[in-house]
This record gives sequence, structure tokens and C-alpha cells, in this order.
Amino acid sequence: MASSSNFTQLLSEWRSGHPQALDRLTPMVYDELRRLARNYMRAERSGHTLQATAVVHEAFLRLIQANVALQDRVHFFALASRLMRRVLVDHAKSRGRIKRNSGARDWFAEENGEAPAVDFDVVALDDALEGLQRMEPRLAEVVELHYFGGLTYDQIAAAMRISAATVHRDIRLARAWLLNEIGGGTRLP
Amino acid sequence: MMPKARWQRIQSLFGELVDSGTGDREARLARACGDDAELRRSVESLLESDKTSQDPLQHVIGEAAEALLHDHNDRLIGTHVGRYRIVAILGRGGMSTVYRAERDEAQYHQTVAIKVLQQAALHPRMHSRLHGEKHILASLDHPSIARLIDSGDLDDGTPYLVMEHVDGESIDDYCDRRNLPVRQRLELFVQVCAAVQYAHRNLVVHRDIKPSNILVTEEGVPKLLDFGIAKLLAPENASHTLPVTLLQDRILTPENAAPEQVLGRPITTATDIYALGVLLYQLLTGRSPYRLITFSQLQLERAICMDEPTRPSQVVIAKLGAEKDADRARISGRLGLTPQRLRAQLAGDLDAVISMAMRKEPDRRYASIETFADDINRHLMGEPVRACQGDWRYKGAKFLRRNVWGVAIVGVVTVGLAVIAGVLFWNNLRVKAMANEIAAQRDIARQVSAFLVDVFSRADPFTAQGREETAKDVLDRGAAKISVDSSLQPEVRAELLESIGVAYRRQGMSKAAIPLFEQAVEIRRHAQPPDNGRTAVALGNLARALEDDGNMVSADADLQEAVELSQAGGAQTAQTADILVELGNFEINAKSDPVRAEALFGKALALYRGAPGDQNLNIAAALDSLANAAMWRADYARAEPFARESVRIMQRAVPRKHPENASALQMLGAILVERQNYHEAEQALNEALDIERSVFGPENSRVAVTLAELGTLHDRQDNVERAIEETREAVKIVRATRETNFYGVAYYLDALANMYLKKGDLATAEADARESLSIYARSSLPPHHLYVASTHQVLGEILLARDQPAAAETEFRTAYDINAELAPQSWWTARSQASLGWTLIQRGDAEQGEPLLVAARTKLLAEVGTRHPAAKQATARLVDYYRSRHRDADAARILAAPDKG
Repeated sequence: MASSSNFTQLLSEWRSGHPQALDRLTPMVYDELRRLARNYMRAERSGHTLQATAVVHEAFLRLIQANVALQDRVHFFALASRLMRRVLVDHAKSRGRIKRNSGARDWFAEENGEAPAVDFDVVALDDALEGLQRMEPRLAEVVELHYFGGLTYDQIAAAMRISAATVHRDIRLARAWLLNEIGGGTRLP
Repeated sequence: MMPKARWQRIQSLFGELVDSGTGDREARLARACGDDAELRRSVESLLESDKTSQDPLQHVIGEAAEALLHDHNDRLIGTHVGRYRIVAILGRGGMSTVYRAERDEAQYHQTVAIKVLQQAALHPRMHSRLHGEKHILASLDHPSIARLIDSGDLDDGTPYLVMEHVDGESIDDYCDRRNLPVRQRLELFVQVCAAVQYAHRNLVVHRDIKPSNILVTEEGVPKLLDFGIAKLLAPENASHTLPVTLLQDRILTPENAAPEQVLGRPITTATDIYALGVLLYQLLTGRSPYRLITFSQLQLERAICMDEPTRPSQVVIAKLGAEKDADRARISGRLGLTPQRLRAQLAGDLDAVISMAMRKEPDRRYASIETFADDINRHLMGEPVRACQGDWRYKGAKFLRRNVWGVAIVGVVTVGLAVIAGVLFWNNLRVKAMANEIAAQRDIARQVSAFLVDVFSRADPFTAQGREETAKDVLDRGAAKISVDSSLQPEVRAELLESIGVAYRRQGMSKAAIPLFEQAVEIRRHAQPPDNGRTAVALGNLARALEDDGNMVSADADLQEAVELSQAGGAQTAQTADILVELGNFEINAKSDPVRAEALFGKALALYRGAPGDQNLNIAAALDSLANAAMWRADYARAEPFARESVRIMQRAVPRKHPENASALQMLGAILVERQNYHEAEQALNEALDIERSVFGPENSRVAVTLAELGTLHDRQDNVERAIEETREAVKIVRATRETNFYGVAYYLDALANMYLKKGDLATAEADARESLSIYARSSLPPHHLYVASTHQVLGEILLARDQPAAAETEFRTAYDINAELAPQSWWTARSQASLGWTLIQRGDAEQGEPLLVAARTKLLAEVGTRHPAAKQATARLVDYYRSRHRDADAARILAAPDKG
């Protein structure tokens, strides 16, 4: 593992506009995320469901010095969220797509607070996100930060310098769009 | 891909319609889309997808992560680790996976458990220590401790531990599956204590005691797993946990963690005592003390550090979240009891024992496992326990203080523009004062002033268009202006960020203040030359906002850093003192530790006194803080001189109509009421009231607190008319400024009912008492609370006076039941008993009533003395009764020697 001061230095170089720093950062963050993700286990008892986001935050903890500048923190999370997405998608691709029972969504179960019956996987989500990225990069970034990076609306708002209300609306729109896109139902023209 | 313009149209329609009602939506959509059916279909389908109540994206990502882990987990099965062959996975935890492994050698077969630690979870510096610690852990030899056999590293460097394999089930499952009654659970628990006690004698702290770490074998022997392992996984210092908590997503704080673990404070044997308290709570109630309906880590951490858990005897009958009667019955059924019977077994001793073990402050818990286990044994043998009973007085005092603060905070929120203008002006003055000290700062001060004047000139109600601007509007505009104005020098920017942040915070919008303070801290950190004092002040502000927002861990760390920085700064004595005051307030509000707070306030006071410049306001504020700390300890004699000096300084240093002057007077008034110096108390409170009314307006909750204080004062002086008037007014204001079912309203109504009863207006008294009860029932207080009992008691007296003894009897019985359950030895239990006895006599059942009344009166005399109103009343009633039965000798006897009963 790179020393955290070295890492922080790279991050700050990247932020001040040195793209070659990103080339060195990416493999470091990617490896760390993958290693961490593999090492996390799901708790045997209820209460601690694993989330990819916990991994991202743990990576932050391990790679970055405690008093890193706010803007570097923001940049780190943008990078790590994107790479977390890649770790998960790469792994899902490597083990082959999971067969899923198709069929109508179980609205009743969902409305009664049971786990949603979902008929797509992270690879399909990734494809749809690609589409969204081309059309509206900001929406795709908000989705990455929130779902893969675990940032709260307020944190995203601060990072992207938009209001929390906008973040909230963006996420709802993006999610609706992605579900439409994946669901194969009424596609947008 | 669709054209940009079209997509933007869809986006904006979605934004407009997403929160509108369905009917409304149809019409608006039709109007907006006209005959563009395709556009309409697109927006409709997006709105339809938005309805998903669960989040499928979250679910899909979670699944992908889980799949990744499982694939990795199973890879060890079938391989060899040292001399052992891995056979199966026994369990997975947050930090490790445990496998069953076997050692097969000629004539020798051994099954072990191998715990493979997550390297990620292992702190880097701990890796080498792990193998060093193993000798200590391996030396633990106790029948109830699972032995550590060996340890080593896998090929990839991942460390593992080989441990005795225990065939058993976790202690909670063991107890529940066998429907063990309370007594047997306690006996099992005492065995667990013995194992922990053994380890403590060998200087090993477990640190992670929880049901899943205690297995019970078929023979009923408990075995503790993972002794001392948690230490190997713990970060060495809090700074490593800080960034994660800043992001409000700490990976895990187990439900059984002690406050000091959450706060990153030193771990001692007291930490295990706390966890054992939690374990006992879980075993006896079937619930976790801080179980929330949906909990985030942050909420859990906050609860662990701040909330009093519902007492065990209450939680088994309380309605929690979606829990139904059947759930409660099912849980208590596992102990072979109905919820009511279980409550009766837990009330009193066991409540007290668990509460003692689970105190927030480590040094207020049991001093050792021995004393803890000893209390359980005493309870089992029917002897009185040593844990303090009736923590209620302490809690009652705390409720009052909290109540006052809760109301006061609303007061700050509802204050309008005048006050934030004041805050900004005040900060501005500070900047100017600074400028006088250092010529180079003058330019900064000028820029800050210009900026603020600009923001404020637009806040003039006459220049704002259409409506009156709120304080928030002005602050939002100020904050936005700072972020876009690139011409600001860093120092000016930081100064402004802090000013607006402070104003937000005073408006009760601490969440909005946090990012501003964070930016200010960043700027201060990177200043050239560095100015530790300034950084410390910014950190102190940030900590305060974080504290308001409930992020205690970050607040604590920031404050500690602020103190260090300010002390490193050398000459910045007044700034150091500011931070010490903050830290002290934190000790009181977050940790209920007035003793530590008082020490910090005292230090701050000394620093202010030695600091250059006009420190009068600071000195007065420090004195108020000292008075407040003493009040928290109910030490009013100690509080009085602090408050007096504070008032004296205020009179010298600020104009009379200054809010801080009113606060100082209110504090002094409240203390003097307790000191029974009513004349002076009234002067101080009236003065405070006058200032608050003219500064904040009549409908402000600070006004309400002062009014209620005056009500108490006049009631104690038997001036019931005035007391009623003032309390009535306080109720009115609090109703207008707090949520509908705020229990403070019920508390004031109870006071009113007592006053009306005293006055003889029984109809109004009854109405107030009944309303008080109905608010309590809907409030956040548990149904069995001493405040509720107090209202039942007064309602009983009212009904008795209204000649309805049957209805009164019901009320007294309810009051008595609650009191006897929560505070059996208290005088108010005796009072309820006396009232019940008297009522029974009134109803013609002297046979039962007389002994109740006699016993209760004896208890009252012993508890509160002859002159207490409750004792007087009981005596008068007993005399009445004797006379009515022509037992004049008995009557004369108790009148002649009241103390002898």
C-alpha cells in the first residue's frame, strides 16, 4: 500500500490539474477497494448488512491522511465511487451473469416493506448508467456518488455545489430513468 | 439518443410534477404536453418508475458486493492451515470468518475453530502485536473461556487464530429455547461474570462481550469466545476513526459498545462491566437497550452516548415501534411469564443493577465485576442490592434542565432578524477590536464590514419584495455570496464563513453551518503564517455545530484538537478559554458530567481574567456556566455566588436591555427560588421577564421559561392567583412554539391543576389534570413515568374533593402502582398510599383503609418530617378519622407526639 502522504499528494496534484496523477491514483484505489471488498464479510446476525459504500469509506480511511483538504476529499470520493462500480461490475462479469427469474415485479411485497424483487444485476445497471452518462453526465455522477460511494444528499450537494433538494430530485429522476431503461418496459425514445 | 432540448423538457416536467398529487398531475401533464403524446408518455413512465418504494438500485449493488465476498470466503474450505484442514464455515462476522477445522494424526483427532481475521479490519500496527499478545491470551485457563491454541499467518499474510472449538449455542438462544426463567438466566449470567472476573485479574479486557460471543454447551456451561481479540482489531487512537465518522457512515458500532468505545476514549475493565449490563438487559427483556426502529450508525452512537435506555421493567410492557401486544407476550413468554409479571420481577432491584452497570461514565459503574456479580447474588438470595435505587431525583433534575434548554433553543430559533443582525454585528465588533490590535488586520475588518452591510441592507423589510424576509433568507444569501465572490481574500472569506455559520447556528440551523465551518477550518489550516489560535476557534465552532447535529464523536475530536492547538498558540489565552467553555458545555449536554465541566469552566474563567482587553462578557458567561454546572448537581448554595457575580458584571458591562443580561438574571432567579430567597428571586425574574419581553416579544419561549419560574415562586409563597396566571401564560406560549404533544405542556398543566385545587376551583383543576394526562399519553414519555403518577395523584385529590371517592380510588391506585414500581421507598409513594387509605375509609372500608393510612403516615414522617404538606395532610386525615370514631385518645396521641406516630 502506498503511504498515505504520497497518496494525498497525488490526489492534490490531480485536483490542481495534473491528469498523470490520476493514472497513478486509479490502480491504487482500485486495488485497495477490491482487497477491502473481498475481506469484508456479511455479519451472521442481522444488523450489519454489508454495503459497498462501507468499503469505499474504509478505503478513504486507509488511503488518506486525517486532515486532508475538503476538496481532495470530494475528489477522492468521486474517484472511489467510480472505481467501486468497476470492481463490482468486473467481478460480476467474471463469474458470469446471474440467471434470474423474470416476471412481473411483486408490487405487493414491495409495498409491504419486503425486499424488492429485482430482475436485473449490476452489469445491467452499469450498461444503463453508461447511457445516462452520455446524455446527462451530472445525473450519472450523482448516482455513482450516492449508490456506489455512499455519500448522503447533503454531502453530494456540498461536493457538486448544488442544493440538496436538487440532488434529491436528480436521484429520483436518474433512478426512474435507469429503471425504465433496464426494465425493458416503456423505453424513452 | 434524443435531442438535448427534448431531454431538458422531460427533466423539467419531471421535476415539476414529481411531488404533485395524481389528479393534479394528470391535468398539468395534459396541459404541458399538448398533443405531443410521446413527450407525455416519456414523463408518465418516469413518474411511474419513481413510485418504487424500495430501492432496487441499492439492492442490486448490495447483492453484487455480497456475491464478491462469498466467492472469496469459500475458497479456504478443503485447504490446510497449519496442521489443520478447514472443513466448513462456522460463521461470518464483520471482522473475521470462523471455520471449523480438524487435525487428523495417528490416534489423535481434534476439532478446532479457526478464526481468519480480515486484514482490512486489522490495524496495520497491530499485526505484529497480534503474535505477541497471543501468549497472554493463551495463558488464560478457565473452564468458561474458550482457549486460544495457536496463531499464524496464511500464505497471503492474513492472520488467523486457532481456538478451542465450542459446541454450543449463543447464550440468548440457549435461554430462549429452553424458556429459562429469570432466576436461571441470572445464575448463568453470574457464571459468565466469573469468567470475565478471572480474565480481569489476568489484566485482559474482553472489549466485545455480546450474546454471540458467549456459547453455552449442552451441559449448560457458558464459554466466552474471543477474549482480548477485539483489542487486536481496535485502532490505536481516535484520529483513525475520525474521517469515517465525519462522513457519517462508520462501518460498525455494535449495539453493545460502551460510550467510551464510541468516543474513542480509553478502554478499561469498566467497559466490560457496561457490556455485561447490556447483556443482562438483553437476556432479561429480549431486547437491546438502544434498539431503534430504523437505526443508522449515527443514531445508534448518539443514543449510546446520550440517551437513557428505557428501563428493563418498562421496556417489557412498552409499545415499541411496530411491536404488537402479541410480540410482547411472545418475548416475555420465553421467560415463562406474562409481560406484566415479567415487569414486576424486573422492577426495583434488577432495574437498578442494570442501570448501575450501564452508566455512561465509566467511573460511576460498578467498581468491579465482583461487586456487580455480588449484587446479582444478593438479589437471588432476596437481600437488598447495593446499586443506588431511585436514580429518579437525578433524572428529574435533568429533565427540568433539559426542558429549560429545549424551550430555550426554540426561543433562539424563533427570534427574528434582529438577533442575527446582532450576532453579525457582534462578530463585526470583534473583528474591529482585532484590527485595533494588529494594523494589518484593518483591511480585513473593513472588507468584512462592507460585505455584511451589503447582505444586510437587502434584508430591510422595506426593500425586500412582497414578503418579509426570514433570517434564513438573509443567511442563505450571505453564504451564497461568499461562495461566488472570488475577490475575497482567504482571511476575509474565513471570517465571513464563521460569522454566517455562527448566525446559522444561533438560528437553530446547525446543519447549514457545518459546511461553512468546515471550509473556514480548511482556510485557517492553510494560512501563511499559520495561526493556531484562529484554527482552534474555527474548530471550536465546527465542533459546536456538529454537536447540535448529533455527531458527538466528531465534535469531541474537533474540540480536543482545538484545545491542543489553542494551547500551542501560546498567547491566545482568551481563545483557549472560549474553547474550554465549549468543551465544558459539551461535557454537560452530551455526557451529563457537570463535575468535569465545572473544572473546565473554572480554568476558562481564570484565563479570561488574565487575558488582555475587555473580558467582562466572557467572564460573566463563564460564571453562568459554573452556576449551571452546580445546578446540574442540585448544589444551589454553590451556584448562587457564581450567578450573583455574573449579574453584577453584566450590570456594569452591558446596557440593561441586553439578552445576556436577561439570561444571567433568569439563572440567578431560578437559583434563588431553590434557596427560598423569594423576595430577591422575584426581583431578578421580573427584571429578566421585562428585558426578554422587550427584546424577543411577548410570545417567545424564553419568556415562557421565566414565567413558569415566576409561577413556581408564587406558588411556593401561596400566592395562587398569580402563580396560575403566570403558569397559564407559559402554557399558552409553549403550546404555540412547540410540537402538539410536547410533554412540557403536560408538566405545566399538572402544576396548574395543583394550583387550582389549592384555590378550590375544582372544575378547572380537573380539566387541566385530565388534559395533562391525555398529553402525557401521546407524548414521548413512557406510560409509567413519575410525572404521570403525579398527575394521577392530583386528579385523585380533585375527585375526592368533588365527592367522587370511587373515581378517586382508581386514580390513587394508578398513582400508587407507578410510584411503587419506579420509586418504592420515596415519599410520593407513601403519599399515594395515604391518599388511598383515606379514600377507602371515606368509602366505608376502614378495615383496609386505616392500616394503610397509619403505615403511610409513619413513612411520610420518616421521609420528609412533620412540616411537609403531605405529612400534615396525612396527620390531619388520621385525626379526623379517629375523632369520627370517637377514638379521641388516639387522636390526642398523634397530635401530642407527631414524630412518634
